[in-house]
Amino acid sequence: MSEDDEGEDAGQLQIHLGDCGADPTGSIDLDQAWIEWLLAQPVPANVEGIDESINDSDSEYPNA
Amino acid sequence: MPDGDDTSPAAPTTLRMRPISVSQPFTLTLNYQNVTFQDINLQLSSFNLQASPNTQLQFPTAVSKLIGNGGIQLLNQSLPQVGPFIVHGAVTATGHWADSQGLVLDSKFSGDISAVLFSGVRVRADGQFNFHWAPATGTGKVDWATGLRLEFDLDVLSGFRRRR
Repeated sequence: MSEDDEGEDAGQLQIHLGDCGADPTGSIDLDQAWIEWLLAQPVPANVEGIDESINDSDSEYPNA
Repeated sequence: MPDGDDTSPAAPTTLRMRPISVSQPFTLTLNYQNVTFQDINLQLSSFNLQASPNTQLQFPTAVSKLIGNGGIQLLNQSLPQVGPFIVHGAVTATGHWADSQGLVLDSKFSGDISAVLFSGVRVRADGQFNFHWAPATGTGKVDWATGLRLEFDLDVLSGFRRRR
């Protein structure tokens, strides 16, 4: 009989594993088509902190 | 210019935009019920925020729709790639936790923690991405400013036994 077979069931437990890490390396190269597409996407319901009243256009750069 | 009129048609939206160069922090939380790490790995392999009601993305400071949606697309692209590393980290940390508690995995799992069923798993991922846009050249990039710092909370119903 193995060691663990002899033990008692640990029952319900809560584990907090603390900090782990991952290093994503992806990126998206933007062009004007990407910008137009991103601006046209609705804000998902499960996202907080996007303020649609913030405008990224600027009259200082009318012909930039 | 005809008729001395110096007005011209409105430039496309992107041509009227200001240059953007920001680094934006965010917190992503994922909540699962009755899953194994194998299940989570599978779900992350096809991750799409818009189609994941068990997921919540928060920007601690308000961002524009453009920048926010750029971050969402970066997450949609990146999480499937890092999913196996996230799960590997969770499996390793769970093994270390069990050791520290004097627990061992039930023999029926053959040493594979990724097959243990958890009644609840909550993952919090904190990170930061860059958003750059140069209207003058019509080019830009969304990429990672930092790695993801991950925290896991697991509700364990069974699967571990006390070491004697």
